[in-house]
Amino acid sequence: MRKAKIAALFLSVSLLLSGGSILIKNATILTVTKGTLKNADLLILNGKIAKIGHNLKAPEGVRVVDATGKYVMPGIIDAHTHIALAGNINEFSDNDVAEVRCEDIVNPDDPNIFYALAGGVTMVHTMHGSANPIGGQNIVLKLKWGRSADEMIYRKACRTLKFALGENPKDKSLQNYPASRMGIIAIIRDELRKALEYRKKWERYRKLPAKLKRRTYPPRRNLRYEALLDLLDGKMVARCHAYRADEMVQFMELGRQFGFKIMAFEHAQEVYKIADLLKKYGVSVSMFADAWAYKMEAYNATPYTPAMLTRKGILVSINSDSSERIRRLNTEAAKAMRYGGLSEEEALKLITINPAKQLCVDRYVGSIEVGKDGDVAIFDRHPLSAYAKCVMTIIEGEVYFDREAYLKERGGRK
Amino acid sequence: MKRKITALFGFSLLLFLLPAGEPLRKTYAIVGCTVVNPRQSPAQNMTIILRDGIIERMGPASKVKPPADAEVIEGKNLTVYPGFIDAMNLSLVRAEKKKEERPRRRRWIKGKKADVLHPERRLYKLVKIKESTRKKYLAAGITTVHIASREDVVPGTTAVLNLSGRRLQETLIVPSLFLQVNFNQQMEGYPVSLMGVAALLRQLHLDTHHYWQRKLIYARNRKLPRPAYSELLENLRPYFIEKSPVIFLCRDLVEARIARRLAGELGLNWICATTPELWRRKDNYRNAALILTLNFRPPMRSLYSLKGEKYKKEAEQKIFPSFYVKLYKEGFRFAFASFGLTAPADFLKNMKKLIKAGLSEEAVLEAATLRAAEVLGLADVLGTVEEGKIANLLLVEGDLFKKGKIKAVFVDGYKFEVKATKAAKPAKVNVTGRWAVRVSSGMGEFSMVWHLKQEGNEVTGTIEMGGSTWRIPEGTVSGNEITLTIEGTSPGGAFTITFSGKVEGDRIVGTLSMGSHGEAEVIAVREPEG
Repeated sequence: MRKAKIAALFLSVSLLLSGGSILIKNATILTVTKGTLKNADLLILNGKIAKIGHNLKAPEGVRVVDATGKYVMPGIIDAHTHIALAGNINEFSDNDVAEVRCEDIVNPDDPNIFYALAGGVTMVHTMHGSANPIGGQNIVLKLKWGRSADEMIYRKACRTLKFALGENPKDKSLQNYPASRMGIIAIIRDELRKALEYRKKWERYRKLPAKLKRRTYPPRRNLRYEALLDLLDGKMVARCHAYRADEMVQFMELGRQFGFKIMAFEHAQEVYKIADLLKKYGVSVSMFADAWAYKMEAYNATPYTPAMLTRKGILVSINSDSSERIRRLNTEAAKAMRYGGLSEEEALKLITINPAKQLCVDRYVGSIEVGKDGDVAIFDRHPLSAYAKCVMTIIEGEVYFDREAYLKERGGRK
Repeated sequence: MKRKITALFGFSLLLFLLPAGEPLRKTYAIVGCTVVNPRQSPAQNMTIILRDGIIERMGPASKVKPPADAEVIEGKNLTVYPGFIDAMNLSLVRAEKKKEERPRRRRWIKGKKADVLHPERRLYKLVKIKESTRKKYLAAGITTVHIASREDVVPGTTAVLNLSGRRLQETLIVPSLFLQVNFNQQMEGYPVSLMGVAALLRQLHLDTHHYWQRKLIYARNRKLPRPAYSELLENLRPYFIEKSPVIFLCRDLVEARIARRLAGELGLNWICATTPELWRRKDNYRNAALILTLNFRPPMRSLYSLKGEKYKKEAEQKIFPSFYVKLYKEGFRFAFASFGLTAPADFLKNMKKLIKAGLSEEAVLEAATLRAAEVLGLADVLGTVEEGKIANLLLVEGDLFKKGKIKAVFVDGYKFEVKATKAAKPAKVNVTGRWAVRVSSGMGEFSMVWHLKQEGNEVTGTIEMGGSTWRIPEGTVSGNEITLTIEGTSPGGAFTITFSGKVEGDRIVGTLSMGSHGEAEVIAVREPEG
């Protein structure tokens, strides 16, 4: 008994000790939520931020990084991307594929993880594509390059289900349903209704007296509808790909009717037209800084939207949706200062604490605060400068990207 | 007189009916040979008696004397090994033709299910082994193959057979062994994605349980409406309910992870046929029965493939062989398989390469014989040279893993002489250059460009087609015959296809073998330089 207790103690200690430790000295620390500290030190112990202050001493055996003249910011969070997934990211064979899970196909060997780290990204929300009105279940990863898929998956994040409206799920060949925006909304409504019917069927069966139950066929379990029921029960939240204002309003109304939580609209170029409604329904936005007009439904856009939504008090994040843009989300955020005049701190929030809130992980990451995960990126200049380079990316106190070491390994700059 | 003539005629007819050179199953006595068994030290001066396809007796030559009816084989200079077992072979099953033809223009019909679930299919029925192919397997020491298919998601149940070249029914050891699962995303119809395959298998497991639950309830209450019959779910019962083994073909680590998670989630009794790269995630597979391919080429999704051509080559030559060594040292026991190899001869060749890389001869022999028999559940009849086991033997002059030569192979007690393999003929032609290629298949005609480079017998190059570039990692020219292996990617994932043809000056004519998509005619014309 006592032995077991001691063993349990050791176990808990070893759990506490998981994660790395590092001391970053003499940096400008952009905490994002608690202002900016000059010439300050940041101590990460066993994966968690332990101390922020001046003249901190490193405990024995803890690596010290001199960051004089450099900037430390919270690890960048990309709330919408498709990296680190194997195979097709669209199960486009049906209009509702809520049962498929990105979690199954996480590929920890995708080099895009490394490229993202080189841009200071520590966490991604990697998603099912937008080929179906109801897509699959997305997954949140910490970019622990070199580790296994299971070590990368971040289970504290909320489970999210992909929806898509507009041109992508619409069948342009007119051979399939849906061929219109009306059709898309109708399909989603119909599938949610079917999920509710499915639940009723099971409730009816479960209520049967035991004697009768033995003489009744149980309903067939259906993982597709069970996923939708998870959404309706609040165990999952919706992330909806949308461009036009009208389709977003339709979808929010659907959310209200069926009582599911819409966490964010993706891309949402026309969202500035319905900012008040967005606020009323409590929906946030994950969008590009200034990409638009790449297809018909993306024309009515303006780069002022992120700033405008911020002023309105709507939660907004800037995403990459690409393995290329993911390397420079810091400059994407800076565009919101150029267009709309956000402050530095407000701009940084677009790629740190705001996406963290959208993934329900703002208690753990997204800013530099004592007690949060030690996920930080060190830049050689202010990260909102177009000349800034990420020199080191740290996740839970462990260095996953070190520009200097990498260049040395690669044999100098080429 | 008349009777005599009839008899003579009958006899000559009999002679005529017997294929020329067909080995007869005699009783053999191999006298005074050395026997090398896995997990045992070699036994010298042994005599082995083979009768009716079984090792009837084995013992020291002083004790075991050849029976009067036996053909005696002088074994003084011979070492006898158990025949190799190819624990997962994808080359000997021909794809069953799909009923519907593929539409010319690709159309996504939503809600359509792909025809990929065939637990009722017995893969041995699709086996086609050419005599020349069979001889190549024997020359590489392979006497037994575990037949599987690269098609579909559930292509059928696998089979184990001996390569004796007799009637198929006679060669089968087990006609239906494991349920096979592949992670093939389809071009159209659910599932078109890897995650869709995983979701499909989960739902299928639930459906099987539901189907049998309903049948049970119906058996007790015959007044209920009769549940509809489902061939699919009937055939899945042994695997999803009774826990008969399921073999997952996992081409890379992503697929191996899906297989491991599904097997855990659904409580399956599983076997993992995969890449040696598994070493990188070894801790997750400690309890799995493992079959590893002898193909050292990194899978397409592997980090070693994605880092560039230089790293890929290095991985193939050094890193991947070292994975087997490390796995063995860590206590992993695995069986060898040929899937992914281009020629049967590579099976033995790569075993030798592993010995050079540091894997012991004992470990290599074990993986090709006894361990394979254990993974396949056939260790009572296969895997060692032992009394009572099937007479699958290799008769080798010298040490098989050094410079030794396989002289003869016994399969099911039938003796086959192995002739020294002909070395590739010197190349009579040079195919270096840019080739304009027309391909015509059932799907229509299309064109591509080949860039080939020949050095001696070896050919490498690239293929351009519709904006994408495919690789030709290896190819050979022998005389005026050319064979190429082509690696590429399509929306359906990575694929490997092979080409073989004849070169006549600036023209190559031949066929492209595209797995389930059949074959295509190819005419290539060399473009003038400049």
